[in-house]
Amino acid sequence: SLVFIKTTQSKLFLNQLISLLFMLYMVAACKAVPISDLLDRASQRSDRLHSLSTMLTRELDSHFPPIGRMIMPRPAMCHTSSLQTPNDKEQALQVSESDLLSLARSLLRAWVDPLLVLSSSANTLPHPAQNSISNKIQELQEHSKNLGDGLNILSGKMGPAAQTMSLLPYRGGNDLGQDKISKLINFQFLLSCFRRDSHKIDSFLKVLRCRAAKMQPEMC
Amino acid sequence: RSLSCSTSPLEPHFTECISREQETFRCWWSPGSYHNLSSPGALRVFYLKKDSPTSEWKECPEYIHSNRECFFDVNHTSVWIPYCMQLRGENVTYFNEDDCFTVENIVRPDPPVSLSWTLLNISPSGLSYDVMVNWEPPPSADVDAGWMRIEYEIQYRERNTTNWEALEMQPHTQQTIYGLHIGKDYEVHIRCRMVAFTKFGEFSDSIFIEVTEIPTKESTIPFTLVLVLGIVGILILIMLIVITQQHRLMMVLLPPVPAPKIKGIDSELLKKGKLDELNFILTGGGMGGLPTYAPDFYQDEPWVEFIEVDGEDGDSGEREDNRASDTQRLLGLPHPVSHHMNMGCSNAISFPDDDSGRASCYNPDLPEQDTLMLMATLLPGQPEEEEASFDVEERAPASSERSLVQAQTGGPQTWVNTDFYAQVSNVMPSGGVVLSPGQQLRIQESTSATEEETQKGKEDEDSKETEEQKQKELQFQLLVVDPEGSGYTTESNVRQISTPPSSGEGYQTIHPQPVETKPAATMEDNQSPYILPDSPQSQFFSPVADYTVVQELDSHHSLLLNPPPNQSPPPCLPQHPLKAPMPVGYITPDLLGNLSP
Repeated sequence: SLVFIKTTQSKLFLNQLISLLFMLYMVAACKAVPISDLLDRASQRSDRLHSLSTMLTRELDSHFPPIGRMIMPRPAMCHTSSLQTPNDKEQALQVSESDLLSLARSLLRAWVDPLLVLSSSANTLPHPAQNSISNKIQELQEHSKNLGDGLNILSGKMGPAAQTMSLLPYRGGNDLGQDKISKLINFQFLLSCFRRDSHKIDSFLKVLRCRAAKMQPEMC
Repeated sequence: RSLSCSTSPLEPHFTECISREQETFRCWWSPGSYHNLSSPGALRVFYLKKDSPTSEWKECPEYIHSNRECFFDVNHTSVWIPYCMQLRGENVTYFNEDDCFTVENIVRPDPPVSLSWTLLNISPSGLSYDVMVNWEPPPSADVDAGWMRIEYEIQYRERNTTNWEALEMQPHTQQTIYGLHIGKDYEVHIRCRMVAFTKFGEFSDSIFIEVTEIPTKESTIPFTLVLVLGIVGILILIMLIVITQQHRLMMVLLPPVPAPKIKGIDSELLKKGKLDELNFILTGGGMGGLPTYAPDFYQDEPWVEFIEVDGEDGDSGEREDNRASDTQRLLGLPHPVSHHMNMGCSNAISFPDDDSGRASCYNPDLPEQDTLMLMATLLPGQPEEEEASFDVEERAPASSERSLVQAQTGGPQTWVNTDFYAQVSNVMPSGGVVLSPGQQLRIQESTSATEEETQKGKEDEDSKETEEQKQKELQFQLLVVDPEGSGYTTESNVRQISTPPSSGEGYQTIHPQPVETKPAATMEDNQSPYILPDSPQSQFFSPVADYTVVQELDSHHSLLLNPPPNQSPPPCLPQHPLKAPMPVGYITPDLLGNLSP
């Protein structure tokens, strides 16, 4: 039985050693992840983010097209409109990578609170697809957080310019309206603002990725 | 954009605004039912770009009147900024809230270009095939810079049908179409849109896919032909060999199936039903083991390898060795010098020695000295040999032989012919197992025969060896009795072991007699651990618990070995032919059939 104990102890030790080596390797490997890979992953997440927002908008509109049409989106009233971003391809291609990243991060950060508001409103949204909408909002929050973390790591590798962020506080309050109609309208408006910004984030990241992947044009 | 549902005359309105590459866009308008406004210049386009709170309506930067189109070039196009469009007449402004948009939402990419296809494979049945379609992204879309990301949708249909099959959207510039049918023509076209947006561009030009049948059977024909010819050739060869009876080749191709061939025993005996004779021969009924001058039954089969028999069936040498070592261990004897009689080998039956390690040659490691001693001491009429019997190291082989001879020339002895099985008579509380010697088969003939042969002396070492076996077996049994702690089996224990006599015919057994045994270590003791066999008279009754005869089956189909003597059989049990015990101690399968009620 002594032999047995010794073998189990040695096995435990061996296991610990192996797991430690594995962690070290992972840390080393993580440090060595190239920026292009990180960008790739980030752009995939932003892709997903934007797709989700598109689906959400369509789902909302599918049942209340009149509302979608009646109240035109006034994107100027989005709380992120104050941020100066490139508005066409030429401008986007001239912005530096760090600035692009900084813009993306600022936009993403600006939506943390409004997403919470959207999430809580979705629970009581007077809409037939309320459940599905609520689930998608949850997913949005998750992806948004993951993307934010990833962009933070990226910014760490890209220098101080990438680490500056603009603050875009949300002042819409916690509640989207008292009555059904205003609730729906405000919900939809907020979502359209989000969709616009998710597309911006996605575009900036794609431009960044293609710039970083000069050696591998097939990535773009 | 849909028209407003109203019965009033249609106002001038914008029909559509489209961007092809997210860098420019165009808007088309229509005068509606106001035909007088259809002339160029009657209506003017104004737009509002809401990039600041102080923005104003501006006129269209570029008119294309032939198309009633307003074109916004790169300098006037901004993404993510809402535009609103207006049509102004002389004094009227036609404005619809629906005509506000952001550029990214009106993007409809150009169709892909340079479509081509390649054949991937054809199914083994030759009925369907897979095709890989390749294309290029629309040249207007700046995919390389990442400004636009496009996903594609392939649609295909058989020629002259109306329904298109659509494949799943994916962002790569190639896709495989599976399962197209040979002989049919297919038409393929592709359209695209921006990822996560809703508006598709136009379809590309179609390409046509045609694959006709390709004869592929010829490649298989020669292969099957070769296979068939090869098999036929081999069969012919084998037949030739068999027919011409080339023995050597036959041996190579069709080696003989080994059958049990024991030298000196006619293979006829090994057939069913002749077990008794075989047992007789094997257990030394005739000459004690296999005679050396056994008739050669297998003259014409020179390749025969014989099974070696040493008076026991199976692997003779090993069992002896195990017993010897067990005995030695139990007795604490040192491993004896093995330079003495090689009796077994001198008369050894010839054998090919590749199979078993020792085969029929008796194990020279056998402690034959002490077994001989034991044999000697087992003879009751030789007490004077006892003291010397256990002093193995000091005994020269010759003297042991002598004593053995003397022992053998003693009075008629009944030797215990152990059977091939030992029965567990009893399990003692301390956990030890009491074995009893096996049943004696044909004890009469064998006893007389062994008596004769023992009187002859060393004539037949085989029997001696077999008897050594038995003595060792007995000794082994004795020593098993030992660890009970009582040191000896008393008379009362014997009574426990033996079963009341229920019938006496057909078998005789030996009682294990009470014997004072000492632990094996103290060998100086004069007392000999041996079993005194009963006098012959006692053999005829009282079966020891060798094999108990199944007397009856009770109602639950359980076997009653020894039914209570004074009870009447249960009324429900029918009389069946097995009231009488069976003559032989073990049940053969055909008798077993009779057992079932």
